[in-house]
Amino acid sequence: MTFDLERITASKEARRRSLAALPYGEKLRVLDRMRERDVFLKRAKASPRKAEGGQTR
Amino acid sequence: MNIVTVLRTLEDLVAEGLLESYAIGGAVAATYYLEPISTQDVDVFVRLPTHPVRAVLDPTPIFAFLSERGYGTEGEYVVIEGWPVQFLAPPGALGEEAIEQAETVEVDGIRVRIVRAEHLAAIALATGRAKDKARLLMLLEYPEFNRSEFQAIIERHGLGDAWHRFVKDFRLEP
Repeated sequence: MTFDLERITASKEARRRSLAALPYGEKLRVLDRMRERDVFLKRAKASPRKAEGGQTR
Repeated sequence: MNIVTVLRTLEDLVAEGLLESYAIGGAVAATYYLEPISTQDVDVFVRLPTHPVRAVLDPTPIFAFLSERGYGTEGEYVVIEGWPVQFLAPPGALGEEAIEQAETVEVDGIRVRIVRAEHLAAIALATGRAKDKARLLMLLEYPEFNRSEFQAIIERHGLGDAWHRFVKDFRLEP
């Protein structure tokens, strides 16, 4: 673990650049996964058991 | 979720003659130039075919076509493969130009029209919400962003004052 802000910022920037360099098709699949996560979280907020696939009474 | 199916469906709408032209905007377009940007919907600027007799543009055939494929609506959205898609009339001359000059790229063998980075930036400047300003800052850092093309667009569409305010607010190099 590091608290070196400069290193953290540089590492985040490098991550952004590597994601930006992905082919568009790959990036769109990342958007699909992000959207799936958002929908799951929204459902979990509305009805926690349902989002987990559990039984609701 | 399958956003590629959304893109394929747009091309099908063009092939069927239900759309004259379109261009993907918003975060899905920005993702082409930048890293993937989380979004709740797909914004599509559309140009509808003009009817030889009726003067009013009618989007009903588009919704009928999509409904036949089993896609329903949620408010102002059509939901295609889990993605809420918003069909937007181009917001004025800037939007018209953005559709006209959109980039055509290929994804998984599908032809896709995407608003150019410089037009996306100009639209973000014109819209001016916090998330648009954040996106504009990101687009300005895009290595292939054509600053002189962007300047020409904002001058052509009367966004000079908005740009000067933006530059001042974010202490950018003019």
